[in-house]
Amino acid sequence: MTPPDTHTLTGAYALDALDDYDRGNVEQHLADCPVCAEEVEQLRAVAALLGAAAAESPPPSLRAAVLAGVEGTRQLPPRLASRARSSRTRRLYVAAASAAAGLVIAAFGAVAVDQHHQLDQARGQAANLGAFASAMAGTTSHPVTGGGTLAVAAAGDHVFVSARDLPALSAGRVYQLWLTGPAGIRSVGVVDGRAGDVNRLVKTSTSGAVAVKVTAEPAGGSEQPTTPVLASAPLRA
Amino acid sequence: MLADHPDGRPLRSVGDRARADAVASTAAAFPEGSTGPGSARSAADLLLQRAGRGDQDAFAGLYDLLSARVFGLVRRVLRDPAQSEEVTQEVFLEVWRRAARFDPELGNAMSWVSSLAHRRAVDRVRSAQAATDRERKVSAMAPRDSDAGHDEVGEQVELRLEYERLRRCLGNLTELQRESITMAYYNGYTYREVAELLATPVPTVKTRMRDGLIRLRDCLGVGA
Repeated sequence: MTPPDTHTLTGAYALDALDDYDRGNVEQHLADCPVCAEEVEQLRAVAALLGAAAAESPPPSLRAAVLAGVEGTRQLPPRLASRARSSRTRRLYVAAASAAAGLVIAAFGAVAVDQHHQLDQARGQAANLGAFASAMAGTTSHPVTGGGTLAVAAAGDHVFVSARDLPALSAGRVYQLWLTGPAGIRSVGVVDGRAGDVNRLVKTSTSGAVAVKVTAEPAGGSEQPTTPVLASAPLRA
Repeated sequence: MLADHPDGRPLRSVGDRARADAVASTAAAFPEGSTGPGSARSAADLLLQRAGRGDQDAFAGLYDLLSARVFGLVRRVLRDPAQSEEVTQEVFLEVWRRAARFDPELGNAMSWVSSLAHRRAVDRVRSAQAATDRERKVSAMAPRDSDAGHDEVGEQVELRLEYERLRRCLGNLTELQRESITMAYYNGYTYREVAELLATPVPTVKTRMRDGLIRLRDCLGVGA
């Protein structure tokens, strides 16, 4: 849910004139409002023309530096076309993800019994799940303020959390995962601020968990969120 | 679409709009810093799409086409040349990294790259600011740029905006619309900071940014 006047922030959004909190609200709003998203696209194009008016050639040495950097930089894969997929397909993905999460729980349980023997198997399962989660990300992902996506799949008393393309945080900052429910909000883990992609299996323990949320926190994490929520993914679609 | 050349020189004829097979020559027809807006736009789209398929030559062409825009914009926001070079480099690496995710259906490459560049520059300004004067309120921050910033924005807009049509369209805005937009975009201020600096209520600034941009859009003929 976004505040009622969120729509009037499209101009400020296109100018990058919002703080993180407002930006999160607008991005959430845009996800549900194609007309607004189109307006933002147009206003950004206008902003780009304002930017072009400031054009100034960089020093020639920069070109070589950029092209050398490209040489050593891996490209992200394209986003899979997701909008057109039917809700049936989406349900299948979620069901399969839940099953895969169950496998990993089983594998992790086995690790506790016989760590060395089972570790490779667990890794294999986790890798499969990771691959699966990325396939799923296109259909059930939620935008993360600042970039990237968050997707979750619940299975029994566990939730599989998959975040992709998270922008690197500044030094000393980490991403923190939260579980919200009737009992409030509690931390379910801290993620390296430069990890980029994250796949985590989280135990919900108490019933009634409603959503997984992500914030950026000081290293080590916080007791409770101290910054605006960057992304929120409900556990029930 | 803008008809005028950024340098005020007449727009060179480049024949047909860039086609896939003509991208390289189109890029060559627009050396660094002399991008002709209309053709540059479609050429940039094609180059970016090819870069998304791992084509480093296309990416080099894209750099030549857009580096002056990116560097100029970043420098306008950051001022510091060394930092601006650093951020420009970051921006292009990010463009390379994300190129496969560019969707021409959802906007043109120039706008995509410019948004990325502006966002990076603004993030840099704000994180530097957060590190140095996290505690300060906006009002206390005003001296940082208040007098200089105020006049300079107007001056920049008057002196440095080279697109005649853009200048004319900016002239059609109310002073508050124009100031709200340029202070936010060129200085990297949030709308709350702009409101403080202009001593204007926050909701008013927010609205002026939007209706000002819409008026610019209509004046410039930026369509979907």
